[in-house]
Amino acid sequence: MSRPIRARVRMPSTATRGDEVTIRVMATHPMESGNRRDMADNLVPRDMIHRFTVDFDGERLLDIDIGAGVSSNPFFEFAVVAAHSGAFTFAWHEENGAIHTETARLSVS
Amino acid sequence: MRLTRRDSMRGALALGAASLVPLPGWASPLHPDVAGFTGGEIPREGGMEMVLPATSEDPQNIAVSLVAEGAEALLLVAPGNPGPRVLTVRFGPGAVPRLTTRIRLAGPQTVIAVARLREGGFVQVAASIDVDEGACAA
Repeated sequence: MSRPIRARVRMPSTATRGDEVTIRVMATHPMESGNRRDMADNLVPRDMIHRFTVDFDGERLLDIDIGAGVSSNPFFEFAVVAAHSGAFTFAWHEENGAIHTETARLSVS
Repeated sequence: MRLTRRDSMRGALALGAASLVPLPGWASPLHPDVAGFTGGEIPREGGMEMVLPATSEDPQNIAVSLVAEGAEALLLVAPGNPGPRVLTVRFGPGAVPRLTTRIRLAGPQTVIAVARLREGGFVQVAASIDVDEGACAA
């Protein structure tokens, strides 16, 4: 069992309509694929975030299906076009069913 | 250097052999994960961009950036990893079709990125990277 996820979202809080807004997110997570062996040569149990989603006012902007090749403490940088003010919801989905969410507002002028 | 008849024959042979290689379909079968993403369709070469370093000191943490104009989804595959599919991303209409992340690789290999375009069809790009083989977590 991993510790609770701590996640960080870095993005501007304001933007001009039509601008590309770059968003960087990182979550603390071991991302154990189940293929790795520990010092005693035992397989380390699988423990993964398998999905990351981004919504803006209920509209799905990004949906990442995460495989074993993504590094621990997964980092993603992406961009959206600022259309109107609203709220982002970022969600990290763990294979054990837990979902960690963060929200952030963007004011568009 | 003097070019002898023998040299030119060698050159012609090498050229002949090289021209046989890039025929897609039978010469380079689709990776199963790519075939799963495209439904068996062979992607066009180019038309998208992947930024990956040529070498990395840290195989657990390698930055990779993907950009594909007009893409609605991207697939990233590391065929040399025990679990080759790195990720699949779908972009909503309000998202810019690009993604940067950090990946882990089990050894030197050629990483493949494929994009599904909104207008239909697929494009792909590959990049080779040299990393130390080691205890891979992927």
